[in-house]
Amino acid sequence: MRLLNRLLEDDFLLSAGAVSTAEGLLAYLERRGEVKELRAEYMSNAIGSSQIQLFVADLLATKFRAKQKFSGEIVIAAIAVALSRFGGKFPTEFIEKLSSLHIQEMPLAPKIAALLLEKRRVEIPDLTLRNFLIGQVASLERAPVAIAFAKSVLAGKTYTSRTRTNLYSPATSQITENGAA
Amino acid sequence: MFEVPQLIGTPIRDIALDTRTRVHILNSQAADPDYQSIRADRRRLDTHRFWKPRKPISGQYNCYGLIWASRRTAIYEQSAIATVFREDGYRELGPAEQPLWGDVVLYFLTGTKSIIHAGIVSEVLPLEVMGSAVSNVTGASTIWILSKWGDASSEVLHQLQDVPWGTGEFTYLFWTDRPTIS
Repeated sequence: MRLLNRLLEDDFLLSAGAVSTAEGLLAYLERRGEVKELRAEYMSNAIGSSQIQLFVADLLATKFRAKQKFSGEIVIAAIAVALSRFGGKFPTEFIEKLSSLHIQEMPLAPKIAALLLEKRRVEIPDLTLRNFLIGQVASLERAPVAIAFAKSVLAGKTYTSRTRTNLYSPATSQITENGAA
Repeated sequence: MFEVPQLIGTPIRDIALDTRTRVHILNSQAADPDYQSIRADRRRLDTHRFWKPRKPISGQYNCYGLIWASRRTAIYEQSAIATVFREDGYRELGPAEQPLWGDVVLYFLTGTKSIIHAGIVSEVLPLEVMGSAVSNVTGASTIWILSKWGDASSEVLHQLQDVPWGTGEFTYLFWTDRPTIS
């Protein structure tokens, strides 16, 4: 959360807020340390989708005013850029919903999201499992469950969502959503 | 997650804006500055002591709108800038050419073709060392640019490299609509 709050600091907004094209801002954000750090933290589950959701919801609730420039759009654009290299439901929905906005208050972030979607259309289908890093492996105490699961699969038993819940630790299921889903 | 802006946001408004050849230039008018933009603008002005403010913070247009839309609207797409350059007959200045007032400077993110800013050359002054002009010997000059940062800032005059990004983060090129020197 501390990293997300750093995106609200003046130093970030002073330089990123001076960029005026969607293409330019996207390229600029890709280079910013804050965006790289956010990407790494999301990858390692130090920041989860629920934290990002809360942060964005709070930002919009407190700072968004009709007919006024929404400075927070730079922060939202930075989050979209950080999430853009991940597959899965949350990053996809975040970028898609952002790109669907066509409002005066935040003109750049939705354009950046549209560019990211275009990029993902080209890049994501080409990704293989090798492109995804696994941040954290389920703890060893779950190994017997995993072995039992493997045996049940080999025995031809039905795979249910209940089995999946039992099988994966919360951290592992988070990784699935972040990267490999 | 984006229900609030979806519900209370103001639909984008564009204006009739065409190139000389009547190709439409994508644009949308920017909203008025919010508190955070005003604070950021003040900080930029405080940090850059040599900037000369021309006009207080406003919305409506950005740097490209200042140059190509007479401050009526903002242009956010790089493709729109390419359209203007192509249709309005702009060309990049040759290495031996000096920029003149009225020319346009484009700032790029270093190592990319991504445009991050544009400004109008407003003054080209001889470079002085110890009170004497050295430009006749070296061709060096002090170039002042008229700029607006983003779509919610003041309009300022600043020296070519006195910008909100760090040295090494940007490069620049001059463009003009003047005919080529033969």
